[in-house]
Amino acid sequence: MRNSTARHLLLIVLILGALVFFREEKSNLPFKELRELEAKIKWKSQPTETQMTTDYNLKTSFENDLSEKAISSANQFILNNPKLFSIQKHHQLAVKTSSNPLGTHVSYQVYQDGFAILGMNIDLIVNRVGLVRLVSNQYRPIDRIKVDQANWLTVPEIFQDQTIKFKLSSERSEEEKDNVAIWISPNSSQPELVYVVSVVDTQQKQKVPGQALFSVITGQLIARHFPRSEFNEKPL
Amino acid sequence: MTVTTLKIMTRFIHLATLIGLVSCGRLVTECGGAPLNIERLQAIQSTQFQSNSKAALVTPNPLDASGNVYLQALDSVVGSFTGAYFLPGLMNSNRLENNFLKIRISSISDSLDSLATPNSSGEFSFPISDIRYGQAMAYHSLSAIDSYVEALGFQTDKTRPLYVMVKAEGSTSNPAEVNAFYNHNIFESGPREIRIFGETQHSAWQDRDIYWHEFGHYVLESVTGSRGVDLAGDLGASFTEGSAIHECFADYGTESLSGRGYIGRWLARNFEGYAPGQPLRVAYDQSDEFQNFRSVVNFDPTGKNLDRYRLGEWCSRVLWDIRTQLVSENQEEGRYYADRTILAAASLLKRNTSISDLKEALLYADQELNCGIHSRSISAAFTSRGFPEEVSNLSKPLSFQGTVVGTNQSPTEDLRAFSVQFVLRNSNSQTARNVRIAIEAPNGGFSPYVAEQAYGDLGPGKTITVGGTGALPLDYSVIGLVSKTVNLRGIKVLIRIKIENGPESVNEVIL
Repeated sequence: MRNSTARHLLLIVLILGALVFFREEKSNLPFKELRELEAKIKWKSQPTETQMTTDYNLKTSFENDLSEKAISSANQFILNNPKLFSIQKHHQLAVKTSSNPLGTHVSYQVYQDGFAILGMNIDLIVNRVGLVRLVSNQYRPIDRIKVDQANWLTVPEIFQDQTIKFKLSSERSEEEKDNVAIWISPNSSQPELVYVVSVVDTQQKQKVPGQALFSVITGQLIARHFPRSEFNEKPL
Repeated sequence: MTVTTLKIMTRFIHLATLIGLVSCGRLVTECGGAPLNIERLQAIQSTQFQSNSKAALVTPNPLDASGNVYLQALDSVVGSFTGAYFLPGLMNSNRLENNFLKIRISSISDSLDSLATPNSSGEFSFPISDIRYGQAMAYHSLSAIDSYVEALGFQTDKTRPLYVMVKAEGSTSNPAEVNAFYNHNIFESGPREIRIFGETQHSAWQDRDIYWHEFGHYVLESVTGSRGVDLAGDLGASFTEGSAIHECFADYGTESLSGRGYIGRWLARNFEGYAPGQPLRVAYDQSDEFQNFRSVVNFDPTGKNLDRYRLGEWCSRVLWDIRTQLVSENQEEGRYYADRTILAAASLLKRNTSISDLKEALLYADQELNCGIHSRSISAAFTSRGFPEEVSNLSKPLSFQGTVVGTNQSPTEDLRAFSVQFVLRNSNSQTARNVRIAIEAPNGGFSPYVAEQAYGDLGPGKTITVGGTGALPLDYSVIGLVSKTVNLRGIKVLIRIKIENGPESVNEVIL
């Protein structure tokens, strides 16, 4: 009886081992293709690591080679799935990684002419043996947006015309003042060049700054982020 | 020996170890993931940090520290529960901040001179009624939970600082109105922010729970790479499953790290309907309606289930069940492996996520980290609380009748806002799962402003009515914005109906 159980266990182990072997083999792709991918995608930045705090007795850095291997696997995955990721010539990708017990998260931010396209990210996770899982792909082909700064309004010009419902947050930082990005609503195919501005809605009960997007051309409000509030439904 | 052979051998050893341990009757919690530093996690959990700076605090709050449910902040006895707590990682021993965490009182631009400084013994020691006490509590609480998340193996996004305003400016005319906000500034610029409001005999800034809960929102955004697990909510939706999951993780993190299984006993004293000592929300079993999925997710014409805290509390009980299972396997360490599995699952959640996504992510994380040995208990945690194991597909789409109407919700005077008044009916004999509507601008011409709203599950023969007499207000509908100078005629508006157990349907409206 014991021998029979042992044989069954061994058989299960062998079958599982074979499955793992074939899964891994499938992800090993030629380096040539990776080079082609790197040529095709103009990297906006070098792979970066998220900075750690002055930590509380913890390891303060993560293994760079792990991040690089993960980025390499993620790049291969993008290359091998052109239907999913039909990256257009006028788009560039910047990549960052973060570690996690499941492996390394590799996130790509899409850019056009140096402007981040908000809401268009690709997130992959590369597990400890280099297998890639697609977590989220918000990339979609969109037309190149014209970037002609001669026609842009300034933020103060935009706010001259705003009604009292919105005012600029007094906490706006210097770096934020000319923050321009491209916004593509999940529910629209029309990208817009926008200022990302901290505003306070004067009609809210509690005046919590939030971000709003204003068209650099028309000055119109395009979208707004609502900070996450507790206790709305439970007044005193 | 090739690398591949080595990898295979390693896996064989893992599998053999797993089978061996299971056959010996010992349960395994780490067959797939790296071992955890349990000593470190236990030290954080019991707040035994090592650092040169300390604060005098009553943790987690006077009520829980004393067990006296009637205690108030100004009671003289509160001071007797004060202990010395470490403040790790300060950049400068005179200020409560490091590279990431910046504690302020009312505003990001507070004068640094107005902030808390240590006494001559180097200790941040203030009476509990002094707002500088709130600063010290904020720093201690947030550095503790931040350390915990990192010790579990999660690298969080510290590219932008987190400012915490313990008594934020901009409150209502009622300074006693308690509230808290987490602002992730989702458009990729500006710092992250936590703002606490309200000064009472049970101020939120005196309670560790509020900091841990708000930090939970940051952690979820961080481990998901800010992909927008509740993007629709971020952009103004009144209710979404993603928003409930946000609250669920924020509550669970607090409940698990404290080990108490509830949140907000101190804070709840500010609200009507809570008896002294009654928590705000509870993760363990209670004889209440948050036990069953149907009670919190079925669409109700009064709108009572369009509340992220109801579904969030149900969800936190599912996570607590999973934690309970792992703790029963390993009394000492199970809680840490549970937290790691649950947080790993969180990192996989999709944009505008759902309870179904959460279940799938938990099963995947358990497979990767624990060789899937908890798959049955994870599934049972959902099904035993009423979440359907399988949902049959609807035989026909939901019927939609809608009209575009003007609203007075325009955020600026140069824009016209319009909404959709509608009736959505489920004439199937099956429940429609996670019903949502979205407004789309296929050819431009307007901006989808509140682009998506969710309504929970719609039972057979049931109807959702939004707008009009006796119906839910238009706050529960989608909103589009259009310039007042634009001729509306001919603009195409699409209303997309989304459900989990059936195909999407699209309805076209021409303005």
